Amino acid sequence: MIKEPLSGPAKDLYMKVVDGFKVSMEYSTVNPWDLSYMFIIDIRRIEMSSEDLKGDEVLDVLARASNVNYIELKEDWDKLSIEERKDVIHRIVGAMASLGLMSAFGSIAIYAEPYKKEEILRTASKYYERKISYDEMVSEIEDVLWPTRREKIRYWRFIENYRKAMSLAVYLPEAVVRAIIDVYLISMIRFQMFDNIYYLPSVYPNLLS
Amino acid sequence: MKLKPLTGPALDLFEKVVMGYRDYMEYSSIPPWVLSHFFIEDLKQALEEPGSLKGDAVVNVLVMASHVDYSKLMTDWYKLSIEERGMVVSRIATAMAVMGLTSLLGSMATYLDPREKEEIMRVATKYYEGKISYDEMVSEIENIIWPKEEEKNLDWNHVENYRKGMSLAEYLPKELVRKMVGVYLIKWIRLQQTDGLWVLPSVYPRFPE
Repeated sequence: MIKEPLSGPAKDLYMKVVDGFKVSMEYSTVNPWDLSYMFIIDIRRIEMSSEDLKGDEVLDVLARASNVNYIELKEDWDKLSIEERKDVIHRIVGAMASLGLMSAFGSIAIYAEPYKKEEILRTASKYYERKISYDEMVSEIEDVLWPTRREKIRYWRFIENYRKAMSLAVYLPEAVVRAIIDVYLISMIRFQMFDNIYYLPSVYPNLLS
Repeated sequence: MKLKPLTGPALDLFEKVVMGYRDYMEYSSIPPWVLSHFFIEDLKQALEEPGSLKGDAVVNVLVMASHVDYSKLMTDWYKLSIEERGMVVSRIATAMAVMGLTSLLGSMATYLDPREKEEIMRVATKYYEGKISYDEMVSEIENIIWPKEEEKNLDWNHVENYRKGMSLAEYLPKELVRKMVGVYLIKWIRLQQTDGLWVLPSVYPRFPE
């Protein structure tokens, strides 16, 4: 499951983009899962275009996503073969999807009402035990969060964002998605049920800065 | 193990303070674990005053911590017996300790470098399995983050904040602390090992329902 670690300019590029993206997520007014979705779509569009990864169009997207200077990224980019570029882009997309999806699941585990959390835990456990598919789990959780037709109509924009966030799973291996759900929707909710502690912090600032 | 759920004005007061405190944590420039330590100390000090639960000294601390209007909290406070006041204040202190300690453990799992995270997970596992005490774990983790005396001296402010944060465990049941370590220092770090990406989000904005 563990990939071969990146090294040299590929690692430098990956670190600059992913660390920069993480910091942008902290300060952005856009939700992390929306940011991830938006940038991944942009990257995928370029990957599939005729320009693909031979040129540096994708660097514009990476520079915007990470707030790192275009020239700094280009220095690493130019040192990479096409194969290495594909690999590093694939990993950056994985990291963005992972960050967005974890933030969305974490948010649900923190903010949903206690009785909803318990229902979500039950649904997530069914998925984890392979009794239902990922898509079925997503749909069941949607019905827990917005149970009535009226709520679905009223909050259609939130529902759309929820679906976009959940769709980030397509960029991740199934085992990783399962591990994310195990941590955020099972362990974190179960932890809150212990001792009736239904409150968790939503921020984890760097302890060294 | 489960505590008796709060009801009526006790629950109202608890929710106002805890939710207000959680929001305040998000926007404060002070790390959540330092904030929690500070307000718990303030509460303890206020409670030491004779007849403290009869007056409003405690409420003044709760107002500062939650940024909820004084008169709103007093409305609930007046409806509680002295015993109920003591119980709700104790639960609020517990909630503050949970949020502060959780945020610190989560911060370590999020920001340290992969090698440090792996070492911390090994130490946390020893504690989780009952092979070392909580204090021993705290001290071993401190030596992982700041391995040399020189580093501790240079970074004394962060070391002091780390110690304050970890000392919040004294306000919590042992089993709860163990579970917390299990989720944040073991599960969160193991999740990052699963995909080898070593990324976790540091913000979980409210998921709108």
